[in-house]
Amino acid sequence: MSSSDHADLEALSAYIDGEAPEWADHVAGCEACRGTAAEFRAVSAAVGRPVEAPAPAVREAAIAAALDALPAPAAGARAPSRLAPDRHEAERARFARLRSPRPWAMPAVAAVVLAALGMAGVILSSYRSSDDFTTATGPALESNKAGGRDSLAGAPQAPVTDLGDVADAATLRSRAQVGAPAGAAAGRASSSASSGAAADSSATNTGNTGAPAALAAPPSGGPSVATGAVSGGAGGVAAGSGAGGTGGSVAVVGTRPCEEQARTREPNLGPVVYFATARRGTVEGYVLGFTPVGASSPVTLLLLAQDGCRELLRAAGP
Amino acid sequence: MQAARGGDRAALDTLLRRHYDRLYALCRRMTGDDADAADACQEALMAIVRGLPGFDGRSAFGTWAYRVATNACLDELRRRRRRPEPGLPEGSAEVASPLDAVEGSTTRIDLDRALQSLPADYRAAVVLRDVCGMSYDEIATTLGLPAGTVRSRISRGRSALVPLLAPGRNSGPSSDRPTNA
Repeated sequence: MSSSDHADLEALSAYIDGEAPEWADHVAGCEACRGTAAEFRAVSAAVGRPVEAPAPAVREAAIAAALDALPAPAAGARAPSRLAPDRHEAERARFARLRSPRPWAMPAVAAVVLAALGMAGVILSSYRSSDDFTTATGPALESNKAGGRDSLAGAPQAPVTDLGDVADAATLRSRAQVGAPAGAAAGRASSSASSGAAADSSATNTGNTGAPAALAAPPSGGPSVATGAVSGGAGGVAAGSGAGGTGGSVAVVGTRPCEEQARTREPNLGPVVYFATARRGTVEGYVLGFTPVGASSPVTLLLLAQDGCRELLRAAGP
Repeated sequence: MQAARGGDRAALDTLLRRHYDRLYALCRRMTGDDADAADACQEALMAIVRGLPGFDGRSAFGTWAYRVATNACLDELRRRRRRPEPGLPEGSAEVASPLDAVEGSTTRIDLDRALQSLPADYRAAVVLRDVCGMSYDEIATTLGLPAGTVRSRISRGRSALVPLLAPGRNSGPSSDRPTNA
């Protein structure tokens, strides 16, 4: 390479990172390349300048929240474990089989997809044709178009329980009372919920006293649990573990606020069997209880920020 | 590390504290905002705790943690796109030379603004290199990209930053200057 053959920008950028040492001689003798390399170094140094540390409280809160995310021992059994080498091979082979095309299966898959789409369409149209989005088995949710985020519209027959200010996982677990008799859960929740900071979400609190606990469905017996309506126009998801929401089963239709985000982060979450509102400090949140399909493991309770759905608390339910 | 992977709370606490500052720095440069960085960093820590039992140790823990944090930042940025932008403070358009920046006279907002002007994928490559000090191969592993793509993104990202941080310098290729390949 002659001195007139400049290194290109990619080479110079790599050179200042020590990833293209072959350009050292050229850069040493070429003013233009030396200048460009100096500019890149200056940019690199500016980007790499130390950032201002966050307040200690921010750091402590983040670490505390992360440690709260540690699965409880009982729930830990459900955490994905590393596969033993032979099992790993078996799993890989199984997925390879699933990935391989099966010409005879294509019509069947297409029929299933079409049926699912049709069912989703029926569910959607039934929700959209109803002004109050009320379902037969649960309170309604509707998108708050003015506020631009999901909010709960109080449904007279089943208001959403507000758990009040929840400081830690233990409090969340004790207040949620998943599976408790509905009236008892509602009574506890309404007595524990403070009315101050939660006043702006009055729609979620009105009618709490004496009303049945929203969606606190016992796993067996009692009414089905149904999440309300379609959130954000993403389309209803019919994903029930039971058969059509008949007594004793758990039917999940549609999505609760933040449910999609939670499932995106953890695809293995089962159906929602509990829903309430709560807050941690000044952050308003939704409480969603998930239970693994067909498992006897405890319900996973998540407190998710209403704004952004980030996880504020996690607890294993009773 | 073994104890942390086994769910030992004290070991996890120690591990998270050891890496918090570096992860926060990555999040801060990626998001350009204190609050978003705090949120993304918290999400990253929680994801690390949940994912640690499945961490196979094929890469260094730091590399894996940076990958988790980078993904948390990209999620945070996607969420932010759905929120209204509060706008930058008055007078924030003033920019300074990167050479000045080294001397500390560039305001934080200038750098944040310049970095935020990059596509997130390019910013991630630049930040992983310049904030985290990762090699191109490590960045390639972290971002799941070929090393050549990483090299290209870092170069293009820096090239875009030069005129933003140093107006009048290298504002365009000329015959006597190096150019893109």
